[in-house]
Amino acid sequence: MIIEAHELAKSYGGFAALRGLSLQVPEGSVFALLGANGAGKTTLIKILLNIIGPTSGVVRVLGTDSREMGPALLANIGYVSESQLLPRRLRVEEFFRYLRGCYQHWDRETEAALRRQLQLPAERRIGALSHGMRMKMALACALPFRPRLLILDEPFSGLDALVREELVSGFLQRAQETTIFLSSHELDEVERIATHVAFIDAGQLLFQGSIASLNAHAEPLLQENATPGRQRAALRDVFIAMARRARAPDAATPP
Amino acid sequence: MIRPILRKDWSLLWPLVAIVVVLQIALTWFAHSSGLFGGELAPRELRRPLTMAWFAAIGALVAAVVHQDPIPGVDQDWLIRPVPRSELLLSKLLFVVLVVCGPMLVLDCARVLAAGFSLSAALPVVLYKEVYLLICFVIPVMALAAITATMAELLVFGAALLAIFAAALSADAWLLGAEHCPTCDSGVSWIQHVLRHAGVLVGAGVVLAVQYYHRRTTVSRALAVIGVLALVFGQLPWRVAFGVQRWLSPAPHAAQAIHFAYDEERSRAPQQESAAASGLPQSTPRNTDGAAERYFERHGPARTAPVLFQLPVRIDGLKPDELLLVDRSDVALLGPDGMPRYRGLNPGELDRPGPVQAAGLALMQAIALPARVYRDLGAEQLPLRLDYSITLMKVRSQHVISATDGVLRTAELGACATRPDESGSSIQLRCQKIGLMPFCVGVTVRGPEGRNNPEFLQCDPDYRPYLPTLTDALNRLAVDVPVRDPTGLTHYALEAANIGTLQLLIKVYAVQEHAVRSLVTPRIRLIEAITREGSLSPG
Repeated sequence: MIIEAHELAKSYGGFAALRGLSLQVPEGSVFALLGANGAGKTTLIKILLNIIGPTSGVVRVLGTDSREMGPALLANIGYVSESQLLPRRLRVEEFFRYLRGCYQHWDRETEAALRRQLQLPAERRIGALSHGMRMKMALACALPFRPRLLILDEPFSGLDALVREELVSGFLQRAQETTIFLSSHELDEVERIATHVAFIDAGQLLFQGSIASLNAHAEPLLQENATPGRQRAALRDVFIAMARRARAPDAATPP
Repeated sequence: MIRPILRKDWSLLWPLVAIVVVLQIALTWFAHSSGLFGGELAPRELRRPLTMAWFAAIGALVAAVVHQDPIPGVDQDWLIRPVPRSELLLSKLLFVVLVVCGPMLVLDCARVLAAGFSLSAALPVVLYKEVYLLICFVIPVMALAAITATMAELLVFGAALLAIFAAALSADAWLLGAEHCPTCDSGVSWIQHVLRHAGVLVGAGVVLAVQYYHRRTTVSRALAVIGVLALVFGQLPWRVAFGVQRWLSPAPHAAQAIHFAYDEERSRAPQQESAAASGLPQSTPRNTDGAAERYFERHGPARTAPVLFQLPVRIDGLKPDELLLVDRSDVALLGPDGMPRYRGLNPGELDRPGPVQAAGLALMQAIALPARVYRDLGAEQLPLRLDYSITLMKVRSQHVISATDGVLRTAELGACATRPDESGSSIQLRCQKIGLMPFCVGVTVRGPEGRNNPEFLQCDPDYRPYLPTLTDALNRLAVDVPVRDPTGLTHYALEAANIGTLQLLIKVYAVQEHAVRSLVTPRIRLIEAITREGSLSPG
C-alpha cells in the first residue's frame, strides 16, 4: 500500500474534521476520495503531506509515518491543489527554473512536452494567469520529477469542460505508473479515471474499494434509493445513497 | 537547494533591493559630503528622514524575503517541495547578507577610505558594523516576519507588540517610578543593552527555530509577547550593573584615596543657596506635633511630591589631573540597628552638577525623599546615609590644536578640525575616528601670553567597551567651546576677537576606576532639621 491511514482523527477546537478514519491506497491505482464539501478530504490530504498533524492516529505514506516526512519523501510526491499559493509575481519560466533546482531528477523533456500540450505562456506572470491556466501550470509542475505518488486536491474545481477534458485525457495519461490519489466532489470526471474509490462524509469513511466492488456493495442501497429511469448505478447515485444512509438517525457504524 | 531559492527571491525582490542600495548610497554620500562640521543645513536635515527610510526599507526587504515562503498557513508552495527547512532559513539569511550587508560593506569601506583612513584599520570595524546590524535589527525582523504571512499581518502584529511594550512600560514606571529602569541614562546602560540585544537575539533564534522546524505559530507569537514583556520588566539592578562595571575597571584601586564625608562644619552655617528646583516644596515647619501633615496640607497638590533638601558634603583625595563622575547616589535612613528603614534612588544632584574637579570639593548634595518617607520617618532621629557610585577619570593624553582652521590627527581622537561658529561665540572642535571615541574631554582656550580660559568639560558618561554603530562606521566628537557670551553676562579672558592667535588644549580623560563610597550623617530628625532654606542641619 502506498498510503495506509489508521484510526486517523483531527479536531479543530471542538469541531471533528476526521473521526477515526482508516484507509488503504494500493500502489499503481487511481484512487478517488469522494465527499461533499467539508467532508474532510482536504484535511486528510494535508495530514498525508505533513502540512498539519493528526490529533490521533497514524498515516504512513510511501512507508513512512507522515509526521516524519522530509524532503527525500517529498521529492517522490507531486501535489496539486486549487488553493495552492504560487508566487504570483514570478513568471512561468522563472517558476519552472526554480523547480528544476528543487528536484534532483527533473525531466526537461516531460516539462517541455507538458508546457507545449497545456500551452503555458513562459513570460506571463503567474498572478496574471486565469484560474484554469494556473491549475494547468500546477499540474505541469507536478509531473516532470516523476513522482511515485500524485496527490490532487479538487483538481477540476472551477475548470470549464474543455480544460477538464484536456486534463483527464492528456495529463493523466502521462502519469503512467504513478499512483494518483485524487479528492473531488466532481463525480462525473472521477468516474472516468478512478480504479479505486472511497467515500467520506463528516470525517467518517463510508466506503473504500475498487470500482468493481463498489457496484456489488451499492446494489442494496440503490434499491432503497431507486432513481427512476436509471439503467446503471452512477457514482453520484451510490454516494448519495451512502451519505443518506450514514446520516439517517438509526445509522449503524460505517463499514 | 539554497541557490534556486536565492534566484527566485532575487527575481521577485530586486526592485526593493535597488531601493535599499540607493538609500544606502545616499546616506553614505550625505555622511561623506557633510564632512566634519556637518555641512549645509538642508542635507543635514535630510539625513534623519533618510536614515529612517533606510531602516524601513531594510525591514521591509527582510520581511519580504521571509514572506516569499511564509511559515504560517497550509497552502504555501514550499511546503510540498523537497526543501530542507534549514536550507530555506539559511537561504533567507544569506539573501539578506548578500543584498543588504554586502553593498553596505563596500560603501562603508569607500566612505572610510574617502575620510582618509586605511582599509586595514577600517575593515574590522566595518565588518563589525554589518554583524551588529544583523544581530540587532535583521534577525529580530526575520523572526517577526516568520510568525506572520504577509506585510499587513506583520504591521498589525508589530503594532500590537508595540502597544504591549508601551502599556507594560507605563505600568512598570507607574509601579516602580524612577527605579523601573535603574541603569537608564547612565554610563552603565550598555550592560542592559547588551543583555537586551542578547535576549532579543536568543528569542529571535528560538522563534525562527520553532517556526522553521516545527511551524508552531501560536507558540512563537506567545514567545514574542513574553519577550517584549521581558524587555520591559527584565531590568538589571543598579548594584549588579555597577558591580560588573567595577569589575571591568582598567586601574583597580586608583580611587583608593577618594573619600566622601558629611561636612558638619558647613551645615552649621546658614545656607543662602536654596535647593529651589522644579517647584518642589522647599520649606518645612520646625514644630513636631503633626508638622508633616500640616506641611503637606498647606502645600496642596504637592502632598505626594518629594521633599527636597541639601546636604553639605566634602570630597577628598582628588588630584589635579583627575575628575570624578557621580554615576548615581542612593539615600538611606538607618534604624538603630544600622539597617535601612528606607533606601532608594536619590535623584538629587551635586551642586554644581557634572564632573567634580579637584578645585571644588566642598559641595552641596541635593536629596529628594518621597513624601511618604518624610511623613512616616521625619519625626524620628535617624542617621542618613548616602551611597555613591563613582567613576574616577584621569587625563590620559593632551593635544594642542589651533583654534581656527586647526587640523589634528591622533590615534585617540582620529582626524580633528576646528573653526569658529557663525556667531563667533564658540569654537567648534570636531573629530571623527574609527573605533571608540573618548566620551570625556576637557578643552582649554589658550592665548599667546600664557593666559587661559577655564577648562570646558564635556563628559557624557558611556562606559561601553564596544562601538554603538548602526548607521555610520565612523564615530564623531563634537565640542563647542564658548569664547563669548552673546548675553554679556559671562566674560572670558580670551575672546573670539583674537581667535587667530588662540589654541585649544584638549585633555582626553580616561576611566581609571569605578568605585562606591558612602557617607553617614549624625542622627537627625528631618522635620526639625530641614531648614527654611532647604538645607540640612543636625538637630
